[in-house]
Formats: sequence, C-alpha cells, structure tokens
Amino acid sequence: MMKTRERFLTVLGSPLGILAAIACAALLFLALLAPAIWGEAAADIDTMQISKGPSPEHVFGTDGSGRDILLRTLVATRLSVVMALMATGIGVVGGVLIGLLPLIVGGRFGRWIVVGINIGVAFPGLLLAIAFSVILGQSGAAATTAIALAMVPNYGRFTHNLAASVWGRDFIAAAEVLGVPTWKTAFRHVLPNVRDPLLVNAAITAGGALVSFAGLSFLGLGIQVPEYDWGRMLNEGLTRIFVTPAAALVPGVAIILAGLTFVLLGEVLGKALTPTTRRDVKSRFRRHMPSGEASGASGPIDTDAVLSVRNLRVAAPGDKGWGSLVHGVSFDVARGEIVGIVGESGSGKSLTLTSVAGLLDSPLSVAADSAQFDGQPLTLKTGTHASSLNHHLGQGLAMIFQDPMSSLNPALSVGSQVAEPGVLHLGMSRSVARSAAIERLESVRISDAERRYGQYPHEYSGGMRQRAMIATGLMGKPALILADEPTTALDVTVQAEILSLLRRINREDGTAIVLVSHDIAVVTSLCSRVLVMYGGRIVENIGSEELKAGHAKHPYTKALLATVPTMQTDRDRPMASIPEGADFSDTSRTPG
Amino acid sequence: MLATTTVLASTQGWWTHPWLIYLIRRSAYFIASLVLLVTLSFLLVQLIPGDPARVSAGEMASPEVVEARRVELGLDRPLIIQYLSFWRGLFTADLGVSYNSRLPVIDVILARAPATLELALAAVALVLVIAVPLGLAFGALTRGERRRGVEAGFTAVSAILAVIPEFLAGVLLVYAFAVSSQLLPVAGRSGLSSYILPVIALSLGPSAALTRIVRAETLTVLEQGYIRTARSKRMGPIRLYGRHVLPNLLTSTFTIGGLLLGGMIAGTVLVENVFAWPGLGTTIVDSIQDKDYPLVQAIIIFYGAVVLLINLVVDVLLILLDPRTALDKS
Amino acid sequence: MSNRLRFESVTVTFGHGASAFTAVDAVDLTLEPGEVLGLVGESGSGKSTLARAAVGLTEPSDGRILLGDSVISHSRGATRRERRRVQMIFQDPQSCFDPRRTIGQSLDEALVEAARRDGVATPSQPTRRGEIGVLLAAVALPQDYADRMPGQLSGGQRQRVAVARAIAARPTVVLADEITSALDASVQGSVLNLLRDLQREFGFSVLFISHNLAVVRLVCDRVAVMRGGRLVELGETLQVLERPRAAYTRELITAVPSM
Repeated sequence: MMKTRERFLTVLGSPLGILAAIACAALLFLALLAPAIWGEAAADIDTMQISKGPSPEHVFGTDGSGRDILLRTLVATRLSVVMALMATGIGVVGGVLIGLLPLIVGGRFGRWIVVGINIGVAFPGLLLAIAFSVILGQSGAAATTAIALAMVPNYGRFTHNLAASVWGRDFIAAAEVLGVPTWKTAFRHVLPNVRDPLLVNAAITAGGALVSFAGLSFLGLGIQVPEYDWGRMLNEGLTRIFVTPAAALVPGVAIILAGLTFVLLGEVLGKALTPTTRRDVKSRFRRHMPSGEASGASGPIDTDAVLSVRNLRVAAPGDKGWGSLVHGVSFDVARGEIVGIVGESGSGKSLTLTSVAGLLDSPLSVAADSAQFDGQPLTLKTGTHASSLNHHLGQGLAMIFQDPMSSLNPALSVGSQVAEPGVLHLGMSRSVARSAAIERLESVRISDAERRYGQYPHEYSGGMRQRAMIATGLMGKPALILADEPTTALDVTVQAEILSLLRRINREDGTAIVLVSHDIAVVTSLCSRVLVMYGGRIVENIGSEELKAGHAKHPYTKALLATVPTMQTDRDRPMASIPEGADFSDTSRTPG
Repeated sequence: MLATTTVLASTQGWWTHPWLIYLIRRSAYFIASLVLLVTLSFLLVQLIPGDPARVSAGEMASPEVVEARRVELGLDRPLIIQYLSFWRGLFTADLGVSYNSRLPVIDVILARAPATLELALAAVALVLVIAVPLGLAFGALTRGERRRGVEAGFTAVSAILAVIPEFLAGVLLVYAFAVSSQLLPVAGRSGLSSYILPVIALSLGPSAALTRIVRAETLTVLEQGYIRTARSKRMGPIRLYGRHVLPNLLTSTFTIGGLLLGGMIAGTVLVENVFAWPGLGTTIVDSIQDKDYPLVQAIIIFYGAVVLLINLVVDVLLILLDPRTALDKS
Repeated sequence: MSNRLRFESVTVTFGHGASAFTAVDAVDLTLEPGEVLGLVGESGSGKSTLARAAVGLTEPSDGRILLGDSVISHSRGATRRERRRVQMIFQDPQSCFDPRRTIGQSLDEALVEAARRDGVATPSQPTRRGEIGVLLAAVALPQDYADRMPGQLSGGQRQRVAVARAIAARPTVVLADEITSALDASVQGSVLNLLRDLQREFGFSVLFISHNLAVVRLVCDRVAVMRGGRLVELGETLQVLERPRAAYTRELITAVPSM
C-alpha cells in the first residue's frame, strides 16, 4: 500500500508526470511573465509588415495589423488562464457548497435544492453565458461571472452524487448515532472522502472553462478590444484565414495545448490520489508461476471420474511480481458424487472452482498438469473455451454462482436466459427451447412458470433466482454442477430449499455436484466428501461422516470445526476462535 | 418490495403504476422548467443595469427615440402587465418585431430554426453511430488489463480530441479543406457537401467524450456477475456483446448522451459562426450586439425549450429501456 | 429503571400510497437492563429497521420508543441527547470507519461527543488519549493501533474497534446489528466473547440481531423472532429454541443445517 507522497513521486517520475510537469510549468511561466517580457513587443504595430508569412523576425508571421502572431499568443496566455482559474475557483466553491447543502439540510428543503441543481444542469453553460452577456454587457467580467455561475450547478451535481454515495456508508450513520451534528459530519467525514475526485474534476473543469472563455471571446461576447485572448485572436484570425492562416492556427493550437495541460494535470492528480491496483509486471507467466507441491489427490488422472484435476495453480500479478493464490490443488469427483470444498476467505476455494470452469479472466493466470472432464481433456488456460461455442461444456457442465442478485442479466427476461443453453448447445429452436425452459422452471418448483418465463430478474426473489440459475444448468443433462457459495446470500429457510433441490437432482439424475462454501455445516449436510482448503492448498480430504465423527486429521480442520457453533455447543464456555495470525501451513499435509 | 409494488399496482388500478407516476411527475417538472425559462428570459431585459430603453436605443439616441423604444419594448407598463403580455405573446405566436430587420420575430425564428436543428440532429446521429460501437469495441479489447498499449493510445487520442472545442475544430477544418485544399465548402448551407464540415466540427469533441464513457461503462458491465454467467454458457463473442453487454450499456449511454446533446445545441451557436451557417446561432450573436431584445429573448427561449425537450425525451426513453429506473426515481 | 429500552407498538412505514411498505408492524418489545436479547429473522423481517429506529436513523411512523421514562423517538434537544445512550455496532467492517481517519481519531470523536451529550466539559487531549489506550486494551488490541488507518486492520480487528467505539460513548444499550455476519467463522468467536465480557463488566444491555440461530443460542439470554415486520415469538433462549411455540420458529430451527 503506497502512501500518497510516494505515489505522487512515482507518478511525477513517469512519462505522463514529466509531461504534465513541463506543461504546467510552461503555462505558469507564460501566464505570469509573458506580458512583462513580450507585452510591448506584442503590441508593436508594424505597418510595413501587415499579414506577412513566417520570417526570421516574426516566427509565425504577422496579423492584419502587423503584430507578431506568436508573441501575441504568448502574451494572451495570462488573460485566458487567469479568467479560467477565477471562474473555476468561484464555480468549484459554489458547487461544493450547493452539493453538500441538501445533505446537511435534509428533508423537503434539501430535495428542493436538488431539484434546483437539476434544473440548472439542464441548461448548457454557453446559453447561460449568452444570457448574462445580454444583462451585463459584453466584457471579461461578465464572461467570468457567466461561466462561474454556469459551473455551479454542474459541479454541484457532481459533488452531490459523490457525497450522497459516501452518505450511505455506515461510518456516517455511526457518526450520527454518536451525536455528531450533521454539518460537522459533512465537512469532517464527507468532504475528505470526496476530495480526490473533486480535485481531479476541478482540474478538468478549469480546462473546460478556458475553452468556454475562448468560445465567448470568439463570438465577440467576452473580452473586448483593446484586450485580447486566444478566442478573440481566433475570431480575428478566421476572417483572414485565407491570407494569414497562422493568425488563427497559432492561437488555436495554444487553446488545445492549454486545455491538454489541464487534462494532464487531472490525470496526474487522479493517478497520484487514487490507490491503484494496477500491475506493472509484464506477463511472463510460464517462467515465474510457482510450481507448488500438489495437495489433495495424488497419482495420475482418474479417467472414470467426472472431473479430475492435477496440480492446479492460480496466480495474480502484483507490485512485486506474481503472487500465488492456489498452490497446486488436485482432486477427483466421481460420477454422481457430491463433493464439498470448504474454506475461509483467502483459502482459494472459489478460485479453484472458477478456474476449473475456465472462467478465470486476466490478469489472473491459471495452469495445471492435467485436467479432465467427462472423459475429455480440459484446457484451463485463461478465457479459452469460456467465450467459444463449446457444446460439450455448454450442456454437460452447469454452474451456479453466489450472488443471485447479479448473476442474472437485468436487461433480459429470466425465461430467455434459462432457455439460452438450449438454443446454443442443444440445437433447439426458440419455441422448443421456450417450452423446455418452462418445464425446467417447473421442475425447480417455480410456480406459474409460464408467466414467470417472461418476467425480469428484479421481479424474482433471491431464492427464485437461484432456482432459475439451476434450471438454466439443467437444460442439458449435466454430468456435473459446480456451485460457488450458492446459498450464502440467501435466508436460511430458502437455503434449506435450495440444498434439498440439489440433493434431489443428484438423487434422481445422478448429477455430480461440487459445492464450495465457507459454511462447514452446509457442506457436511449436503456432501458425502469434504475437501478443506487453507492458504491455497487442500489440507484435508475426508468423508462427511468421518468429519462429523471427529476423525479430522489436519489441525486446521479441527480448529475450524471447533469454531462453528451448533445447537449443541456448550453455552457456558466462551466461543472458540482461531487467533488471527495463526499459521497452519507448516504442518505436514495429508493428501488423499 | 419490488414485487409487492407491482402486485399492489395491478390490484389498485393503472393510475397508481410507478411508470405513470413518474411520467406525470417528470412532465410537471418539464412544464415548471419551461415556465422558469420563460420567466428568466423575460427578466433579462428588466435586469439590465441602467435604462434598458436607452441601452437598446444606443448612447447617441435622442430622448424621443429612447421614449419610442421604451414604448416599443413595453417598458412603460407595470411589470406584471409586461409579464402577462409576454406570455400572451408566446401563446399567440406574436413575439414582437425585430429592430434591425423590422420583421416579426416569429418569422425570423421559423426561417432560421430549421438550419440549426438540422445541424444538431445530424451531429447527434453521428455521435451515437460512432461512439457506441467504437466504445464497445475498445472496451472489449482492453478488458482485464489486456493490450495496455491500445488503452494508452485510445486514452491519449480521445483526450486530445475531446479537448478541441467545436469552434476550433471548425477553424481547423476550414483551414484544412479550404485554405490548403479546395475540397469542401466552408461557408453557407447549400447542398449536402456543405453539411459535412459543420457536422464534423460539432460532433468531434462529443464523439470522443462519449466513446470514452461507453468504453468505461463496457468495462464496468464486463465485471458484473451476469457476464460471468453468460460466459459460463459458452457463447460466441458476438452474442455475448450484442445480447448481454449492449443493453446494459444503454442506460448510462443515454443519460450522458442527453447531457452531451444539450451541450451540442449550444455548440451550434459556435459552429454556425465559423461556417456562416444560416441558423439561429449567427442571428443571436448579431442581435445581442445590436441590442435587439425581442429577438434575443425569443431565441433564448427557443434554445432553452429544445434542451428541456431533449432532456424529457431522454428520460422517457430511459424509462422505456429500463423500467426499474421509474421505481428508483419515484 | 432508566435503562430499560421499550418499543411500544412501533410501526415503521416507507413510501406512501400504493407503494408504501411496512417494514415494522406494531412491535411491542422490552429490553431489560443488563440483559442480552437476541433478535432473529430473515431478510425483510424488519429487525434491522427496528434497531435503526431506536438510534434515530429512521423514525417510527406510529408508536413510540422509550429509554427509561424518556420518549426517545422523534426526539429533540434533551431527549435527543438521551437517545445517544443507545449505541450501535454495524455489520460491515469495510464501511463502518472513515477510511481517511485513524482509529484513534474515530475513537476520539466518540469520546468528545459523549462528553457533549452528558453536558460535561470536553476532557483534555491527554486524557482522551489515555482513554483511547484503555479502550484498545479492553478489546485486546495493541496501543499503537490508535495511529493506524482502518484499511490496515483485518475485518475482525475492525469489528473489535467498532465495539470499542460503542462503549467509548458510555452506552446504556448497545445494538449489535449482524456484527459477525461479514466475518469468517474463525474470528467471530473472539469478537462475540469480547462483547459478552464487556457487557458483563459495564452492565449495558444488548440487542443482538442475527440470522444465525446457533450463535444467538450461545450469546443471548432471551430471544425474539420477527417475520414480515411482526414479532412472532419471544421468550427465554433455550425455551424458544427447544420448545418453540410459533410454526415459523420451528421452520427456522429445522432449516439450520446441522452437523
């Protein structure tokens, strides 16, 4: 975890940072000093040199009044930058206050403020600026006011959205429960947590303000003669563009460069302020993948098993090279068997399942000595068969994921998603697939299946969504169901129903199941065999009955069992737990 | 809770359905905003510091001319009467007379508005046609930190293009296509080829911005659980992106797109002035400098109303696309 | 007497008209001083909403909530300060602390607000610093953790600090809303033991909200069962879990996977 200062220095050292630093320095230099150095020379009217092209005297030539174009452009920097910064300053401060106000004030009044912000956002800034120029006349001051006022609703809405999302987090509620006054919470807790995106956006907004000023001046509504900025120069240059293109192009390029400077500033701020999870290590996977010692099953692949894996390894790139997440896992699943994989967070159980299914995506990397599914070899390379029309897997291997809320596509009807494997892999027509899907929905006990077919996921409850997922997997006759924490997000009564559904499918159709869970009680109640994972390895491979009878061999398994409360646990003793930092990885493992 | 709502709605009558409630509320919002727009436009003249009649007639004008202008502007009547007659003018399509041309304002607007609207619509269509497929493609290519070089290139190019304001794009295009090569017309509106450069100028920046946004949204959608489910069904990439990813992009694309659209309406003012396009953009600048208030007010109302209408249409489209939005917002 | 938390026919409704949703429906519940009362239910039971109403994060649409003799629902001024004697520990260790402030600063805030609530002068910085050290020791965390950021602590450690923050406010009642649901089973024991020990030492009562019946059985003296916003059962823990009267309670108990 890098600290902010370290990150800043790193980013500044990168090519992007260097570019940004140079650009900002140049802009600052010109804004501060250019008028002093070249002001007079820029105003110098040389009637002998009207509208001349580039020459040793005038690098980009002269404009219609005989003035040096380059020098005028450089001197105009100050006005453009200063006005942009002033408007941004006012706009940002105003916007932040307006954005926070609804949260502080709350209730009906707060809602009206939000309505006001939304109305303000609806009107493009330029139109507001034009309106202001009518009232206040055409001048730099009017333009500054206009652009600042146009910025307030936009920045206000941005601030409000950020603040509102922070406002929903528990530490805000905690502050309220403690009794911290609302305004104090807003400034002490909300503002620092939104400061970073606000700063980044402010930089970009400043660039936008600069461009808007140029636009107003271009229209003649901003700075008036004898003052000049890039927009004004563009306006004058356009009329003579056929004669002296440079008179328009040079200030035009200046606008682009200045705008880009602010964008670069925003990028640098963004990278420096956000803790990044970016990896900068190139993928030299094969050479660096740690070849872990196999744990779990031993010996060659079991060809009778429906699933067989040898020495599965998963790694992720990090700041300091590849980190191994699964260190060589091997196991077999016999036909019709229900196997459970149990472990806590960080044990690698979900990764194991995901990689077996071929759904692991970059930047993670997976490798195995060998793997076989239903009599055919299984390639586990990242993302190979997951995105191809693989009929064997498409109808032979079913998957259920943890979060039913997000496992179904909210934009498509549930029925069409259930029917999809039929269309893709079973050669069904749309109508045949539809009937088959309705039948499957009924088989998983979803009532009124015909009507439910056309409904959308948000109209289903969590338990129903999991049933629909199971129904999807049952479109073909799968040899294996991979279930990744399928009931973790469900209520206990719904969980019982889903588990009994899985049991029934296994009993009636002989489908094998691999169930991953952190809940050892769930695993032992459904599965006949249990694999315990710890630190990326299988540390125990034991039958459920033996486990329940207390015959676990590995210390971690024993410790884990002790921490799970049941309805029979002794009430008079403190609850068992595994002290944090305890390490079970040295103890010899018992594979097989 | 959502299921309860739907059940309740169907048992208690269609008028309680969340969609309708939202539509009604949104329309009320629209009308309120319109009223506000008209009121603010009305106040424009009133807020001018000093004597609006004198400002309008010019510093050099004699007292008689100033008085005549005052009567013409209706400034001699009580404020409330002025306000009411302003509204009456809108409803009867009698918005006064322009000073310069002595033409009825409504005629000026009707004559010039089509040019502006054509420009805006063409540019919007171009932006959508470019940004959505391109953003989706780049999102697919650079997902999961693949092809970092492509991502860097995309970010750089789109950032540069997004920075270039429409008027500057216009000037650069004028230079490229008129000064150095005589390929396309750069002024006026006559024939299809004269549309090309103004439309490109207007759509360049927003296209780049929207492409970035669509790409970012694509990356977000690709992280979602339902995409993993889709991938577990082992389908080809076309089906995956077309059927499973695309519909989920549309909500945010339209939301941001709506805002960009509003900005592009304003952008027409700038682009028209570069290309001498005979729309309201050129008119409004002239009329501001000529202090032709009736015309200015009417044009501002026109632009504002168009923007508000776009926002309304976008919001309604969003509801149709994703019914859940109505539930969230009501 | 003044430590009894009473819910009198509390109803909490969200929204209006056709889309109104009743989260809590006329619930009568009393939390006796010094007891640990379990509140179990599935999603949509209203248990969290009931707790949030007690601390003022939401207000009852009907009925009232009392702490001792003071009505703390819809409170202002003095009664609002009374309400601050009811503190809450949240479920998600990821979001319950300001990621930009150190543990010490978060605890300090609790101390300062407690002093303000009680109407006493804010203790000096050194005093507060010492108090923070005591709090950290009470939850078995090293002293130097006061200078660490929440992101540097594990989930279990953060929940322990959350317990410390709750007791820093010298509460009369602590509402523990699914405080170990987001933790691994291996660490939940340490957090719950801690809560129990501190409860015995300081004597505050605890409303222990959970969906896990086995945990509730170990931690609570009495148990209340909620379903669909209503209270369906209430009684001594062993009584309710071994001889449940309500059919729903029986359903819940049977559904728990047993080893």
